[in-house]
Amino acid sequence: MLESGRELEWIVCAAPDDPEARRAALRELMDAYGRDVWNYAFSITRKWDMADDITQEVFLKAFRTLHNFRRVASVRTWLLTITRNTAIDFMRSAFLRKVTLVDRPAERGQLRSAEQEVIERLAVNETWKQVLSLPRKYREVLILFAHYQLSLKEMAEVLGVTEGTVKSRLFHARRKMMSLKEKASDG
Amino acid sequence: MDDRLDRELKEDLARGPLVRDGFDERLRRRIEERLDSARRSPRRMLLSAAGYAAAGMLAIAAVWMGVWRFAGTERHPADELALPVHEQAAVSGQGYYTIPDRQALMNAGIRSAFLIGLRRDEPNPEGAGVISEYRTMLIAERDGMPQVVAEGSGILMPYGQEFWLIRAVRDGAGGQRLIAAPAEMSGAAGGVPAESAGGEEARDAASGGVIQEQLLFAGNRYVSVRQVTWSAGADLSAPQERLWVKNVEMLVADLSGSDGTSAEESNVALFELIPDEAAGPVGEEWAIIREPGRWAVRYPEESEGTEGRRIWRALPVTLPPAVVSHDRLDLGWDEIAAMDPLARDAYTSPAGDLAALVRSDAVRVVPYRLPDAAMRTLTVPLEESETIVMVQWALDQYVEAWKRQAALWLKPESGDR
Repeated sequence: MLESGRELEWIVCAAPDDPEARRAALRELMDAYGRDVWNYAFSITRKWDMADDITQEVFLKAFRTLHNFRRVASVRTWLLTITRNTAIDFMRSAFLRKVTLVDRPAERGQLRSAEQEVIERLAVNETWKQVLSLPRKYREVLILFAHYQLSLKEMAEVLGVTEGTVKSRLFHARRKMMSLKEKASDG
Repeated sequence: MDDRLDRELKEDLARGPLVRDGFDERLRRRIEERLDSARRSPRRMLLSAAGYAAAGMLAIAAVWMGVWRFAGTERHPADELALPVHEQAAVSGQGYYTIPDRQALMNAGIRSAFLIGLRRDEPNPEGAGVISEYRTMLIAERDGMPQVVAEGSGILMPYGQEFWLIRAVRDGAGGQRLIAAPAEMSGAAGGVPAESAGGEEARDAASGGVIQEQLLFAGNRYVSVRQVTWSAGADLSAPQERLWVKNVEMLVADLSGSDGTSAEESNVALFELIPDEAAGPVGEEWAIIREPGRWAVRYPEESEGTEGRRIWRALPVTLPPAVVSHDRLDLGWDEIAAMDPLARDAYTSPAGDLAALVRSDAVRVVPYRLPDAAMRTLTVPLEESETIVMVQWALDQYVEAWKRQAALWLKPESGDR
């Protein structure tokens, strides 16, 4: 397995039209970034199954579009951007599927409790639980910042917003986290 | 403080969110299998090609049907050429910031039309709180004076190049949610349901708690929503009140999204709209409410007031045109009072030719630049507890387009009004 992002970038850029070479490049990508992609998909959707489906789509898209990769972004930022766009598409199509349902409050309740159960049972620690309880825009920016440790520029690129907006969101996300931590320590 | 928090966050979030790895061998195999099946199955590729061909045929059919539909609904080429609707008033009313010559205005006819959205509240017959009904009117020139040229239930809101319809849907168990969809979908399955009760299924479903929503403001693409929640088993006298601003599309999302509680729903934070505003709410909770002559911002204090009552602070900011494209009075309050001493609020057109003077029991629409304005004034009665939640202007050539669209989408609903 290749650990170096630079080597991966080389492989991705050099992946020729030969399907086997592209496939080998994809395997390297999955080895290096499979977890990152799945974790980000889960952080956005908070749904295990949806994170599985999104991860599959992300790597299939990456396989199809390896030739589009340019070194303007790192491979990881490129994959996280695809992950986010795919996740949003999935959630949007989920809305469309469900919008005709009459019994939405029941469905909402069931889904919420299922998600909460997974997080409650499997979250690594309290901080992750707290982050995952935040509204999406805050949890995303915190996760990109603290888990993926992206630069402001990279976060802006993944989120499709300006660096100023990233700063604002981070500012508010931190305040929300402080408030959650204070509440938790107050018992 | 931030540094310490950042360090803690980086340490605590260094690992993935869950103790189990989601990206495992099983998932990896599924990805490889999908690649294999795509490569090894020429038949499937043929089917895919057939699928694309069928999709192409469908697309052609859709275009053909679209042409037919446009013809059927008398959509004109000008509709397709139209600017995003929320920009129309601002652009076509370019003379707004330099008020046009008064004599020229007096000689002109009425250039403006407007959609006015109203909310009426009444005690909830199924329990605590209130239930709201909505209606929208298009007021435009006909026979030389302003007239109601279309009226129907729900809030018909210009958004981008189309119109969206917002309705309040009751769940049959005391709750009422706001939902929105493009007006073109309003008659289709999956579009905006009628404002009727939801029946037995919904009644059972609502056992998790009751949510009532009210629309406070509808603008170019944003809505301000008051949300009152009674949790299951909680004291009915102690509901939780929250005020949010949303993109109208979030009303579609929130209806069916997996996030049930208001705090988890998607909202628009004030700083997203006014990034340079240092004061204001910490979180996402804020509201756009009507003050005499302008749309204004309110946000809750961090701490709640005495006896659990929340304190709402005014924030003296001007909402950006993305939210309120036209929010300036062309008349002074002395002029308004001279026209209608009972007026307590007013809206004027970007073209400076129409004023909507709001009394407690009526809206009086005055073409105030015309010499015989008093003779040409329209009075629209308001019902008790009816308030304005939207006023959107169209000018000149866009007025006809709005008339055609409003006639399509604004329809009275049986039992609604």
